[in-house]
Amino acid sequence: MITEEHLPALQGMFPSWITTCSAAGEPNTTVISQVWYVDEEHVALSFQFFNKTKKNLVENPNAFATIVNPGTMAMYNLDLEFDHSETDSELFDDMDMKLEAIASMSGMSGIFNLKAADVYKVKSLKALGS
Amino acid sequence: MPNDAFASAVDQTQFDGLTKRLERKTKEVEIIQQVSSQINTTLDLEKIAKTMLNLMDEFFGFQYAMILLLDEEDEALSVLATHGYEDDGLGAKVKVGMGVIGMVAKRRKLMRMANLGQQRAYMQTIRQQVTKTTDTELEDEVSLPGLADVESQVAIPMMLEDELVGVFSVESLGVNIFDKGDELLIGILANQAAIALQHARLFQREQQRLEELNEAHRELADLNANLEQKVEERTAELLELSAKLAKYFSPQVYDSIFSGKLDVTIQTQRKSLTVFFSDLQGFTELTERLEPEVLTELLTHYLTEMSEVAIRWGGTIDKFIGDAILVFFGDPVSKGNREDAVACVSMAVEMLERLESLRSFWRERGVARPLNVRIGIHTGVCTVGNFGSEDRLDYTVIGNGVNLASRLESNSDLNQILISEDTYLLVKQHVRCEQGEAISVKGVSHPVQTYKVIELVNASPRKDTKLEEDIPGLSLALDPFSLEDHDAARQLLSAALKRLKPKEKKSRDKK
Repeated sequence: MITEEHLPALQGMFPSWITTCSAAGEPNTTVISQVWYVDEEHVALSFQFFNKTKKNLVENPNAFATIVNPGTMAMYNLDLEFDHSETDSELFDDMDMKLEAIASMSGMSGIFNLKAADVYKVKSLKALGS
Repeated sequence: MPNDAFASAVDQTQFDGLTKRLERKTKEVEIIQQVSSQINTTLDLEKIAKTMLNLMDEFFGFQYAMILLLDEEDEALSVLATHGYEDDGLGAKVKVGMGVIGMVAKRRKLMRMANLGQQRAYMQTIRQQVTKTTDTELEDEVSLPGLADVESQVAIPMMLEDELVGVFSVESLGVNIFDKGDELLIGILANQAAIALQHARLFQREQQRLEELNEAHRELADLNANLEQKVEERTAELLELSAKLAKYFSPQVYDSIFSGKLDVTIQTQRKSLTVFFSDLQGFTELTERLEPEVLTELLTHYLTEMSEVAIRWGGTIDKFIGDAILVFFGDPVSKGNREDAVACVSMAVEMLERLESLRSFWRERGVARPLNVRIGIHTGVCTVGNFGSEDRLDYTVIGNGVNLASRLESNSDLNQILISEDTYLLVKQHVRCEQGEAISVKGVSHPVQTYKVIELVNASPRKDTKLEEDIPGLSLALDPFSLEDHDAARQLLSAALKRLKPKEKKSRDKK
């Protein structure tokens, strides 16, 4: 589902939008720095703070993300479903490492804790305008 | 035709794709071979790093790249080589865990960072928020080597098996540095470099250790040389010191002490000794007349000459008391009572002879009536040894015998030797004497009979004595001991006598 063509959009160059919905049907859209590539059928989001997005996901596992390829400015819509959380895996390490690298440069080592790498199944991927 | 069959069987696009991938793989293998062969030609750390960076630029267009090595303490990385930067930043340090490079070193995993500028700006905002709203103490922001306005960065751990050697970092002002497909290749190259670098580093350490060992060896050698030199210096000092010290002792005493035969402790014994005592007549008056320098020279001359005679006859010079000399025979070495007494009297006779020439020497230098001496000799039992305190010892002789010798001296005529009867009885076969007065001495119950020494019985008793004289017109050096043909010598001397003017013409008296 995810191919090489989409990878540049999953490098965090451009912020991504993620939309979730509460059990009551109230949607919430937020900007996140990166949607991580896991494999052809999965992506991951970082879980740092217990925010509205997380709250909604607990109630409703479905989410919707828009990513941008910074090279071509092509945008893609992803239909997601929360699959599982990882706290001790290569994926988690990658995400944690990146977070820590940036934080340490700003003198904030150890302040940001990655609570988990939340893995989503990609149900569909559509290029916008196509 | 198999080719046509193949071409028709495979879709053209698929074929193109495969060809492209094959080309790419071939290129990758070439790159690996080239990098590997180039960086393995040297054991120079910097050269390896530089080569690696140049090749990376050549193959992948990495304009800004650097290689950092992990320090031995594993706490920081140091920049070993850079490529493309204005400031080469060599030696700059990055703490493990700090920034992209530090985190790569800590986790030993490749890290690819995009939109760094944005992420840092995001962190800045958070930092400000944290500082404003909480009491959290934040560390200072750190400056890391690299581009100030870096946008993308990829850092790769350089691993040798499980060990981290360093980090290879590429930066870019643009958004994309390399795609995921290059990662594997770059990872392989980084590890190739790691192997070369580690070899070079080990080699360098070995070289350094070798150098340190050589240095240590040199120091040790120096130390040894110094030690030998020090020992030599110290020995020389001691020798010099003991030579100086020797002058304060009679040679016999000095030898006995330094050979260990004589203990330097308070220890005395009663012994039969022949004691010699001499004193210059009118010396006090002389001290008033003469300049101190001249007086010192005169006295030194006198004492030196007399000492020389005393030492030659085997006497122990006890002490100089101003111009007075105390010498004894019989300790620490003795040739027997009689021999000691004869030697002592013979010594005294030679001293008088020697004084004769000394007198004419000083008269010629304008000192009138110098050096007239009185001599007293007595043989008797005395106490000899080390006297004094634990701190200051004096090897000397005391007792009535010494007092008697002194009394004899003061009763002696000028340039005469007065001996006691005890000595006379020992030496009478060798010395012609004339009976003198009996004198009374304090502490001795009966008067002491004295004898004046006229001459030694054998006019030339010491035939082995060297004769060396040098006067204007005549040089004589006679060593009877080494002379083999005495007849020839006699002929020579009588021939010499014939050449002299008759005796009555005394040129010296006329002067």
